[in-house]
Amino acid sequence: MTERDTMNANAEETYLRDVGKRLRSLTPEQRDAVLDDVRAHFADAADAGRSPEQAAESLGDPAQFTERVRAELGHDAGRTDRMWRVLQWLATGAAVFTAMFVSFLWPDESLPGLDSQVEQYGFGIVLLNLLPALVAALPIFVPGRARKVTAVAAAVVLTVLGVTGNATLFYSLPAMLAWAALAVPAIARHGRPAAGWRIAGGALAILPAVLLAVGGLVGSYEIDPDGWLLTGGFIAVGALIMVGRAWAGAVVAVAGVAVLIVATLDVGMITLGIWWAGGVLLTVGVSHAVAHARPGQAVRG
Amino acid sequence: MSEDRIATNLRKGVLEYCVLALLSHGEKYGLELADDLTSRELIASEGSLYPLLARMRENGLVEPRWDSSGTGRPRRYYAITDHGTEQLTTFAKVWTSLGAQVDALLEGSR
Repeated sequence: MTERDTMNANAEETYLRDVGKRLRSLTPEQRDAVLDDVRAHFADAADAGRSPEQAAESLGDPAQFTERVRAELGHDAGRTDRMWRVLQWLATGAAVFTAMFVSFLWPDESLPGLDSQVEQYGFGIVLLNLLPALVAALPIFVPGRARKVTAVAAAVVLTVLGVTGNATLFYSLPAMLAWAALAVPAIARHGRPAAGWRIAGGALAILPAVLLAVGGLVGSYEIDPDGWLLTGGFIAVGALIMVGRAWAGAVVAVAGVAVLIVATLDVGMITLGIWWAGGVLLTVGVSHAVAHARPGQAVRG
Repeated sequence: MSEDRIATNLRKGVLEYCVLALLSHGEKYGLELADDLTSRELIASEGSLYPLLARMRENGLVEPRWDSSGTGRPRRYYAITDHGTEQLTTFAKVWTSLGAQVDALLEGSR
């Protein structure tokens, strides 16, 4: 190879590497095909007596070129961003909801009597309990570059709260949503997620109903006709999640919110269990809905 | 609206059919297509051809193949698919009737 050939190969390699890096959001097949086009373009240009620099120049700079490719392939860069925003805001909202529940309704067993934290400590405790909500909201307000790191840190903090302590266990709800905010945009970056994800999501949504039905069938308890209807409805919605209907996710999410509200109305031994079930339904439902929303009806963040 | 702006907007809608029309006469490699389109002032540079080809490939209108029979580096030829030919026929029909309507309107407004 002559020195000039080496230099030419470098200009081409640099361009290809840059384009490849900027097209990570495409499927490997789409990206490879575009890179083949670029490679062929450099070869054509060389045959026509043009230098690699001229060939690169006629394609435009890699940022502009790849932006055009993404636009033509309908890869709306804002799409995954909107998914993230919706889920991160929901995690924040869930953390506020959790703070209110923990402050005003949850009888703190570590305290003498069964007073709520507000009755015991005064209003200041509410502000303290709202700190996790601030943590959940932080990634939305930091500059783009620091966003991912902050979002991971926020999810970790919420998870640690959610698995330790007593009242803080309820922060497992915003923790689930914070992890979904990180996972869903990554899973859905090539468009609709792979079938495995929605089958797993559907199965997760059906699980409580199936467990309930099995208990009823083996005679552990009585399920009245309404109960059977509700159980059947749940299994049907789970099946719709499996086939990829976006609205089925919304139904599951609303059911999750209802379960969470039920958990707060009748505080008792199994409240945390109901809370977790509601959290799983809400997280699975919303994740499915935002990942499968068609571009035209995408949820605004 | 300026003349440029009007022309750009109109081109945007017909460009992929122009590519199909060019390919309907036989397969072409990238630079050949680009030169043809730029000389007809349909695109400004190669930079807008490959993104368009990416979409057309995705939609099954064109198909690339590598040809290494010649000397030097292999060439990547683009050919129109059956689906592309169908789309071109449909476009030709629409263009003829739409063009006639627009012509008649312009004629009447003079």
